[in-house]
Amino acid sequence: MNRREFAISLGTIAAVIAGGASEASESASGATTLKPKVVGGDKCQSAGKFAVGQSVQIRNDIQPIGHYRMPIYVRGKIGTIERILPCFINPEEEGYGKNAGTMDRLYRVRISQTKLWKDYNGSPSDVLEIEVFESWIKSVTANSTN
Amino acid sequence: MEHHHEHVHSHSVTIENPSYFEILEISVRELLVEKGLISADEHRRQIEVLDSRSPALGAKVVAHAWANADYKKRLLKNGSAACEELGITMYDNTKLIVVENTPETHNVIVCTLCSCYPRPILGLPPDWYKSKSYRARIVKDPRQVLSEFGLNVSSQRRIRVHDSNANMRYLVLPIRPNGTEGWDENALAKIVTRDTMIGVAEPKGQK
Repeated sequence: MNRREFAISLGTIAAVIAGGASEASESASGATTLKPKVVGGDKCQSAGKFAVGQSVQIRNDIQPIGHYRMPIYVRGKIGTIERILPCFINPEEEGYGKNAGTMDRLYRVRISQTKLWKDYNGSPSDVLEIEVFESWIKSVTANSTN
Repeated sequence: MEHHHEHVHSHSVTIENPSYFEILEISVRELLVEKGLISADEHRRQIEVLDSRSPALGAKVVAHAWANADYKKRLLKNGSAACEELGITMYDNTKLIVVENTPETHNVIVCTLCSCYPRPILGLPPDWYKSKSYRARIVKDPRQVLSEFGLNVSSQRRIRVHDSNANMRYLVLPIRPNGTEGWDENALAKIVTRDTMIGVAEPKGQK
């Protein structure tokens, strides 16, 4: 078993804990189904801070090390909000208790491939789309650079 | 029948030493069971559910969408809900986004950070999907990588690469090929393979 397989095994356990396995709860085990402890959910009752089509920049002014879900190849890049997604528990360093069940708004950001890679040789209309938590997004200002 | 061998049949009793991560997984799981947070049976059942999923489920969804325009609309609007209509549960708290291939656009899925994959609807991911080579290259040079899979995407078509890195999971709705007019859903489902739903291949019309 390697690190990835270990993570997947824990995912299986997490699915049981989150009660995602409704099929599992059919068993007569009597174990209580647990919901993850969630805080900060109120913030996510309202609409997100960013709108569909809005130009945004993925942050590059923070460069944390550890379990962070923002790949380095998109950090600092400018794109547009493709769609607004629900709020989810911010997984970053959650396993170490850092976020303690904090919810954060998730978006999909669309970035032009030619802006992502300076030597991109495909069609200029090609794009990459990626999920980004609100905590990783900032508005584009006039002096934002790529 | 009695054995009178002097030597030990070591090959028949070999037990592999567990790796670091196996020991860690067993420790965490056993602690959770011991403290009553999950039961061993629930854990076993979850693995059974996971292993019961296969690309046949995704093929059923795609074929139904090809045959039913209203269902296709619902599927593109809310992938998870449309799958549940067909009895396919998203058991792992992820949500499904279905992206449609068109004459103008081709979609392909990757998870650069690990191996996020729509397991509830496609089962376990293929080894190449988890390889560092695919994960690193498909986001940077999608046309070259797709051509290595035997799929040449016209320069007139936009390629959308979806990096699945958080809570959403992705399924490609391929273009229904010519020559499949009048086919029933079972026949349609047979040409919808795993790779066509990841976006590295296209379904073929001829039987």
